[in-house]
Amino acid sequence: MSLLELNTVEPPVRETPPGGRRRALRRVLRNPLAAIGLVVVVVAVLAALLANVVAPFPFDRTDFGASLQPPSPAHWFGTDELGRDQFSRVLFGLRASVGVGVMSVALSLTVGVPLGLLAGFYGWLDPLFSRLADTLLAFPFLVLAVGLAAILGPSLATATIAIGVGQIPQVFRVTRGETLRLRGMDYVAAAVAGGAGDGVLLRRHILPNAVNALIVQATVAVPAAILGEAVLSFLGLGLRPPTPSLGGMLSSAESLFRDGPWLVVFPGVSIVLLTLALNLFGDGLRDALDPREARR
Amino acid sequence: MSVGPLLDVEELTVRFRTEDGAVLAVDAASFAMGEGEVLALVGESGCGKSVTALALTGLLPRGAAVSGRIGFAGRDLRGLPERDLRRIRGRDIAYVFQEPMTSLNPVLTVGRQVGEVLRRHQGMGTAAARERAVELLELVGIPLPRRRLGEYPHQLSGGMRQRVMIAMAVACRPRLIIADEPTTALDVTVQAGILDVLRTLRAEIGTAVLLITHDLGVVADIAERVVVMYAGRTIEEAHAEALFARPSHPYTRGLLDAVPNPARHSDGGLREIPGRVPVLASSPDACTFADRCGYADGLCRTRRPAMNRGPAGHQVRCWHPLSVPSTVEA
Amino acid sequence: MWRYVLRRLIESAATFVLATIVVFIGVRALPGDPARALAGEESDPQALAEIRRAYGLDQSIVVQYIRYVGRAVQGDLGTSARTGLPVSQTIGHALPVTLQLSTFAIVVAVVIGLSTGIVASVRRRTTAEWAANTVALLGLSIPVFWFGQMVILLFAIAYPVLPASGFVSFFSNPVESLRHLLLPGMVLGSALAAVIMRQTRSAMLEALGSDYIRTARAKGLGAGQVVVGHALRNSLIVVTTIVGLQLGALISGVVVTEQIFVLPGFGKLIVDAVLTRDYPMIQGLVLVTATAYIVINLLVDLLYSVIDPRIRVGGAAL
Repeated sequence: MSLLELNTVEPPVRETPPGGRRRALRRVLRNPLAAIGLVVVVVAVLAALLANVVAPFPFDRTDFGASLQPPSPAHWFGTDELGRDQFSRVLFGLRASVGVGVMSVALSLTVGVPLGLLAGFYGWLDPLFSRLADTLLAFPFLVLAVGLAAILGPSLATATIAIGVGQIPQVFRVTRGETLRLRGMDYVAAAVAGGAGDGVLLRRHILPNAVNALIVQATVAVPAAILGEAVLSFLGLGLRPPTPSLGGMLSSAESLFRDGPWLVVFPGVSIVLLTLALNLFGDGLRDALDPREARR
Repeated sequence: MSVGPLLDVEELTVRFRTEDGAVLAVDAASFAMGEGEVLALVGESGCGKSVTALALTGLLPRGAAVSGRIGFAGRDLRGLPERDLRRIRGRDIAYVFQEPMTSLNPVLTVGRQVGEVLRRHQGMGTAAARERAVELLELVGIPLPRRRLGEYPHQLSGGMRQRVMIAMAVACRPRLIIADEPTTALDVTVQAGILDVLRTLRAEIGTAVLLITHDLGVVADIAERVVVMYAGRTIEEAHAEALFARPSHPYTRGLLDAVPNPARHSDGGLREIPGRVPVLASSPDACTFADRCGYADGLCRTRRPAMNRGPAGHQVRCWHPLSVPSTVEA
Repeated sequence: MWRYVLRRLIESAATFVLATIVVFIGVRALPGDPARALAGEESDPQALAEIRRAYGLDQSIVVQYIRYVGRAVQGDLGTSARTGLPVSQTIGHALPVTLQLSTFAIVVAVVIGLSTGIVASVRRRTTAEWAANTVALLGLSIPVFWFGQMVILLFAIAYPVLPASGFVSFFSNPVESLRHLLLPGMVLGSALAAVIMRQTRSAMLEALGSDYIRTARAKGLGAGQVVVGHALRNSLIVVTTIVGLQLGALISGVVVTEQIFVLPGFGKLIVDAVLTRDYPMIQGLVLVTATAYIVINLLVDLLYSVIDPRIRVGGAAL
């Protein structure tokens, strides 16, 4: 199940003072689980980006003599029915996952943040934008994705757009919520009294203070996006073969359950580890950013 | 005061473990109260008075290390198991807290929250508890008490919420009410009403009141005796009039001087005490006020002052107590 | 409170109308000529024109929309281009499957999530809390379909105890039904349970740290009364809202779970419909799903207003 709609409305993050973010980062790293998470994420991302260099085999090199081999020193993750090295394929698959994860969140931020700022700031825009966001929410992520895939054809871009669009309502809500809250702050009133225009208010006063809540949102959204990409490629709506994707690998592994269980294990475990690491780090970051939590 | 003090706190010490290290919140504080007495615990924010109040019945969070003796009606409360403490809380010792807005549960009715204490400690059934709750609400001066039973905290004003808190506190006729800044969050006019309620209840039920506050006006209004705290230590103790007329500790003098008074401050300057209250990790063998004190000398900085007993129960923890009566009108 | 209810009703209605419009236009945006799809092999222009007229495809979009909505409200969602059967009938057959699966998953998720969340919030800094947190985090990190695959690997192939596919209605044979629903239900409910657990724990922690809990303890109330009577009551508000929000995600999860466990529900219908460009079916399915989602959200909001007396009673006398 895609986590995209499991983005929950967390209680609002209290303000951290400027420079508090750097202190927060240090506090995060003191938390052993979060630190491990960060390390794993960095390793995974590096491996994925450098897949061309790190992978022992090209992802599409077939070797019928070595088909369906269990894990061995030659093939760490075993091979599939075409003799392709699974470890290499997983690395390349990770690349797709990370790529979609980051790009989709970037997309949702690019669209959601401005809309949220405007809706929170200009009361007359709010009902309209909120209704649009609700409408978007009314369509389960998968249905959206299926529809988009049918129109645009399955591809990496389609998956990115589907996931990104699916996350827009949540980003919108968070930004709008923060804008509404910050609008009432004294320093905003002071800026207005000092003659600041709307643009300056939004850009220099409201947006920077809303960033904390958006960081929190991102820490939930990225792992959700990665899971979403896995689901889409599993269903055949994302990256098309022969380019490997973790979900796609799991899909083709289904029919080979009995003959090659490792084909199901490794891609899946990779997804879980990456997502888990992101979640651990995200949790740690969230805890550190909330000054109330820090006192526990 | 009859057979020994009701509350006898000896060398109470409270340490917290925080992210930034250990914090010594209360440093060997000692004081005593008799039945029916009104004692004010006074000091600035961060001096440890609220922590002291919570420590008495073991309400501090886990991670707080408490030592010393907390004598209540002859028993030492500090070692007691939670089960026994729970029996004392609400029944023999009751609390009134500072923020009536957040100290009442927003999703439960007033009647339910007041009745809870009655059902828990006096085993009353629901109907009996309701009736008694109405009586209590009336006692604390809430109009239309029966209607209030079904209302929720957010429907009441701040002053009324505080009266509800007091009603909850006196429900079981406790021997001691600990009121932690009961009027601080309220308007001045409402404050007077709350203090009136406390006075009335004390007269009718004979309960002792430990009043925690930083507001000297409240102290002057209702307190019989006063204990002043600074940086976790008790530094002066006296009857209220004596304290106002002849503050012995330089800090107390500074506190009184800092209260704005057109007569005294006609030269236009408000008197501050320079510096800030320290947050300590351990108890230094020195006077903790020395850095801010105009009268400090080498002795003050190198030896922890002992309590200096004066006439009429007036004690002060200072190497050089002021003997000159201040010019402050009580 | 009634103002709140009215406002929510109007908002939901507006969202619903917008949703139907989006569905309508969206389906039209799918590539492929619906008339051709309906015609099948026929490509005779005359026949195509006939089909267009019969299905009203030659009218303007607005007219088509109005006719569609008019019929939909009466329960007629058109006829499937693939099977020729009425859409509403096909959906009607698939609905019980998805509903039973979802209900089972939700019940499991709420029970497990709520209880572990409470325990984790009360037993701070113990192994129990750490374990519960880790498991919950795992639940959030495991893709549902992979979980399903692994579960099938384990239970149906390695240790064949439970069936890996097939559906039996609860109303025809409860025991067999539960046997078939157990694996997919647990798989589907796992992520939801994780979310509930974390939300419960977070809400409980917030409640337990609040002033009114301090008051409750100061009154001498027992641990049970404090945790359940006071803290939990306040936490349920947040938890209910969150659960309501998650139900939409559940729909996505259902699609995948039904694929893996071969259950003849909504999920299968949707995928088939899109792959075969069965417009009436797609339209009908998306419409039903969106409606369900909007209705559920509305109900949750209303429930929320009932649980939280601050909304129900209102009128702060400050």
